[in-house]
Amino acid sequence: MNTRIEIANLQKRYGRKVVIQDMDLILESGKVYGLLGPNGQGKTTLIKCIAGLLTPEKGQILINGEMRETRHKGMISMLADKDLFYKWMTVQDTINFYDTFFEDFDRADSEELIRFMELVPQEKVEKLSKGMKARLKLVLVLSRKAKIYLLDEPLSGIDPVSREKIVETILDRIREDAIMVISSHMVHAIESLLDEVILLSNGKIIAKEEAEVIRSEKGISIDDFYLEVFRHA
Amino acid sequence: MLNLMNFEWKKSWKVFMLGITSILLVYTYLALQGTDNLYRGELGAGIAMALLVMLITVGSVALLFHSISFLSVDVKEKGYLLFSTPNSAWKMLGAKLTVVFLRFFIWGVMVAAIFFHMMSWLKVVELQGILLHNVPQIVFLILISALASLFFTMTIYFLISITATFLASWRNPVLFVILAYFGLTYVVDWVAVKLGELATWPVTFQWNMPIINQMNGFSVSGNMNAITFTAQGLSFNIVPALFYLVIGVGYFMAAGYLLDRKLNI
Repeated sequence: MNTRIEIANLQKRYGRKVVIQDMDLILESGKVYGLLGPNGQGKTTLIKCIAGLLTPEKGQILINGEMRETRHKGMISMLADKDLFYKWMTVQDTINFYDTFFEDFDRADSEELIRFMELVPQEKVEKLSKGMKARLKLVLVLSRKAKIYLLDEPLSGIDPVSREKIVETILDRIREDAIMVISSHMVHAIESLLDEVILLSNGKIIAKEEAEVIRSEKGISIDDFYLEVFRHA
Repeated sequence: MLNLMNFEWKKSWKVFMLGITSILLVYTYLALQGTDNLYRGELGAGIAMALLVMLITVGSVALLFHSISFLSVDVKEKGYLLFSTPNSAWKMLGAKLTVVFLRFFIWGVMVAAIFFHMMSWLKVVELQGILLHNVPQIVFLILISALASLFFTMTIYFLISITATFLASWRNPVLFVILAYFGLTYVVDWVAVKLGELATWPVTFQWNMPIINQMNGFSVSGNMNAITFTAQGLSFNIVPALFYLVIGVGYFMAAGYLLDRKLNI
């Protein structure tokens, strides 16, 4: 079954600061969306609103035509840009946690990914380097057969070797029946993954374009398109 | 729900073990005193009071730990992990409260068992006999104490839910929780006392425990007007107890709603 997210008239504020402004957006399965923009433009806020971790002041988010509820979290696999593990957890504990709470978690796939990412199950998470933590988060998120993947800055602060592995893993797990949203300000690194780009500035969508159109009709890379749009924004 | 309880248990098993260790340490200390030092006129009352004070201390430390953990971890960034699962906030709170209740109950049973054992060891046959004939009352007492600990915990969780949602931008949430806790508890207790005076509907368990007379001021704080202990029995007034139950459920529903619908992580 195809999945569809409809965002209508969405507004989110932090105190007096409006972070998302009257946003309308439709996301459909079978596509990888690049949510792009410099830091502080509302990318993380939008992702967290879709994931149900933030409550918008106005507007609505529909998933397959239904208002987003707690039960929809079961179909959303989110990679947070923050360090979200508890101090007492080992790599294996995090796997067990996901396996326990998400029905779509594929344990065999996670074990394969753990090996591929060169993680040690017995190791304490707090002792992992930033790059290894990013790998672990990706293992957990991509081991789920979710309908919606929300990856918030999966490459931020990651060394080039880990970055390559992460992109390779994401590429390998893109599915036709799922929506994937990747937020990043490192456009060049994720360019090869994207089907469509959404550029955010001051909480508003300033451009939304098919990656193929940018490449073939405009004859430029997504990276150049990004620079061009923000130069004139 | 069981999965959430298992997670909560794992998350704070050290607190549980700390409680067990404290109880065993007090037990060891009392045992090392020897029968000569312990076997005096107010023996039973003294030991009971020492164990009771220790149980309240352990419970308070555990409550403090759970409150700090809830305020600084669960409703903050680390809450990502739990709040991204398809579990409602009510389920999460339910799991937390069940674990708090079970722990307090286990500690209570341990303390009661130690007391029985000490009475047997010190050959206070009469008192031991009295206690053995009042096992249901003692279990009821432990149960009520565990429920009281749940009520305190729920009050704090409710206040933390307010700070995490409506007062998220406040600089000193801890101060709010402390002040509001005492304020709210005072008001709720005052209403409970008034209700208890207006409508008395007691359920009394008869017993004969002269020991109670020696334990001045012994009461379950927060449920003061719901339970009365005397040497002749334990009187349980259902009216204020029902009031506490209604308020506790109200806190639970409100906290769940706030965390489910208003929380920003």
